[in-house]
Amino acid sequence: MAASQQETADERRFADWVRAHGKAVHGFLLAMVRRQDVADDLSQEVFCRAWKARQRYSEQGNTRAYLLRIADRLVCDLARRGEPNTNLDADGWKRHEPVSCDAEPSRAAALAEEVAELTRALEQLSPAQRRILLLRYYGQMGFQEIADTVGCPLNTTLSHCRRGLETLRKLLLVEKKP
Amino acid sequence: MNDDPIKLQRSLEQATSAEPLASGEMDRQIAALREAWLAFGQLLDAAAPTSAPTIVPLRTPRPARRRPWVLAAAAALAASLLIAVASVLMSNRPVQPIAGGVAAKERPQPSPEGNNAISGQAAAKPAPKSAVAADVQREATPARQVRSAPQTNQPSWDDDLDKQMAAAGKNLISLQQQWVQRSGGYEMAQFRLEQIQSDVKDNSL
Repeated sequence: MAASQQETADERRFADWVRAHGKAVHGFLLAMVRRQDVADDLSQEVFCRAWKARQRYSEQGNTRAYLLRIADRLVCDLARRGEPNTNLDADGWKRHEPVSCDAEPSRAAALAEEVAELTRALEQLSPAQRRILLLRYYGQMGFQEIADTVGCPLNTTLSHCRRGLETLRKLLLVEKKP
Repeated sequence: MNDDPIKLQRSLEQATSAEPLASGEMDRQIAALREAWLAFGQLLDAAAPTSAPTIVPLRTPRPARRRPWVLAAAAALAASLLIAVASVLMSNRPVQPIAGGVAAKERPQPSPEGNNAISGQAAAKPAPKSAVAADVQREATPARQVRSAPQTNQPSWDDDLDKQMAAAGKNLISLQQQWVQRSGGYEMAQFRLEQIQSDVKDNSL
């Protein structure tokens, strides 16, 4: 009886996690690996690992950061294994995330442009900058926490972040200006 | 932007904060970085899938319900099998001659009369008639075998159990001998009676 109640509570917590953080985790993974199918698989893996470790996981701390740490580790493992990590170009993004049929053509065109711009921006960032900025964006993690996650000193993390932001500013703001 | 780590950290935290900040709180450089950060965020949100992927929790298999009676039954079955195997092995164990020849030393000496009578009758009579004698012969055979077993140099068993077994064997042999003597006497009497009966029939008396 108590076991089934515990199980129900765990399942509810899992559902809450997916509802609250599923999109962020998937967005982080998609931006990191830039392949829809891989991001889908990794998202599943992140939540499954979190589910398996639910007994060890204490509710203290940021759940999203916890999930993103798992996601980040999975991406690193994937890169270490040397599996194909094909970066999507704008067409790839469109193919995997097709514009809704209901969307107006102008909106669809704007979305396609945004996707192309994002792809370009992500390609301009170094892997470390991308990782740090995405962890900051999706996990809202503190810089010390990010430094611990990526395993580099705080100063290095801050430098990567600043350089990444400067690259983005140049790309998204300065070059865009007529 | 200065390179003091603490100030840099604070500046970057401001620039990348998720909460809206008043532009008056930041210097121009941080404001520019924040602008880039917000543009980057907009792109990420715009390109993100409209729906989260379907994620299914992998259910860990529930441990099988334990049934204590099954375990108890299995344990009882295993124990009974062990006992059965052990008893079969013990019963099939060959009889070892006891060192010092307990049976040979202490074997009861049958009375010469009885023995002679039995052997004489057994030799004289055909087998079906002297069923008791045949039985006696059959039962006496193991004792004879024990007696005639060669005294080898095999190590003797000198533990308590063997001593008890030797004593029990001795008692058994003595009882057997007594029974042989008695049955020999009965056999003799029966034979005499049969002889008298046949003499009466033949009118030879």
